[in-house]
Amino acid sequence: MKVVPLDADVHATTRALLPWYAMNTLDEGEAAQVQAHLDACPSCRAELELERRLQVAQPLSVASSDVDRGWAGMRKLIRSDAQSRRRGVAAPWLRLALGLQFAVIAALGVGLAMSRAGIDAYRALGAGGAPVSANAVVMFKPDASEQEIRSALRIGGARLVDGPTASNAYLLSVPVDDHVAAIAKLRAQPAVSLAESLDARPAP
Amino acid sequence: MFQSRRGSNRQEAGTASAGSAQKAERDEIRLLGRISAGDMRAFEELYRVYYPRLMRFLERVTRRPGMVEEVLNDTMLVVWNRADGYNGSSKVSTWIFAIAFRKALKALQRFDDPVDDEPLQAHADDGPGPDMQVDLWQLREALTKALDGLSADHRAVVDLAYFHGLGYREIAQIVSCPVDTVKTRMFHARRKLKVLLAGDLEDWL
Repeated sequence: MKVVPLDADVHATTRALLPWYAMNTLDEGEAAQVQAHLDACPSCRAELELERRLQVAQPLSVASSDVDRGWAGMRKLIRSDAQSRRRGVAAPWLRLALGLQFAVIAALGVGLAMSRAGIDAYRALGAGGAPVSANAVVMFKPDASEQEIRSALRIGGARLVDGPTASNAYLLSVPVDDHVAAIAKLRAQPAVSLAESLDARPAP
Repeated sequence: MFQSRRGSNRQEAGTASAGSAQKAERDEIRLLGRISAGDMRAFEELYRVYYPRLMRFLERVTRRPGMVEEVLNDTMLVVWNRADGYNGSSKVSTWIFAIAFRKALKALQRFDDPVDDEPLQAHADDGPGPDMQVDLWQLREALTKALDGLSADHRAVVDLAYFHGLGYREIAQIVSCPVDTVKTRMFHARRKLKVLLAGDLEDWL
């Protein structure tokens, strides 16, 4: 279906193109369209005259226009730009040194990361979800020294899991395979007032 | 008849100007080729061709005579450094004016204070030259002030169309917007200019 533009559309389209029609920069088809409308539209012809007056009246220029001075400034700008570009590009030996430096830093970083990988993560005594479950409970005498407590734990092969509890007891992990002997060793220590197994089996 | 006489003149003038324009375009493309190879003489030739055009355009867009040459040289520095980036998809002038427009907008971002008309007044006090008709001078002065009342985007479109003779498609490429936006900007700019120039246009014939 052929779409026939309304007169109002043609008028608006022509008005929009008038500046370029006046400057002779439209293609042939557009120029013909504008010309056809101009023949029939006194309003657009008047508008075209205004366009031509505007275009003839070049606005005033207040900037000093000295191409030789401009070119001298241009050459200076090119020189300073070239210098800054040269400074931005490192010499080959410097690039090599920087590369080596980065390689050494990277190697040190990898070594440090690998050495840290073997260290267990820090875990507080009070932290939940202890990796080792308690299988014994022990109470120390009130006058037991810290050195005696450490000695008792070492001899009994025990690890401190939790405590002190509300009753001033400590939960221990003793070797499962030698559970009975471990409890016995703990009981034999002068610092220990009580050592009991938490296993379901009856205490020895 | 208005149509036939005007149409015939337009056709002849159009054919002649199209031929010279094509030659100028070929010359400029050749210059760009030499510039991309580091030919300073070719660059100077292109610089001298574009200096007056860019001065007028940048002065109109920036409204700051003091910054025009700096922006112009920043623009041409891009041409010098990136001549090999011209891919032929547009005219050389379109490529250069697009660079200039972006540089001008960037420079304007550094200034957000209003522009006074002191430089214009200083220039106007020099008085018209002996060959200048007073009425035309007054219209030019009024037009200069009226253009200052437009936004940078509108000034660019008006300047490129009226005073550089560029088509709307080329302007759209320079200011990076659709052609319909160019037409709309021109429509609103003309309407505002007519209001700002009320009386001056009718007085001058």
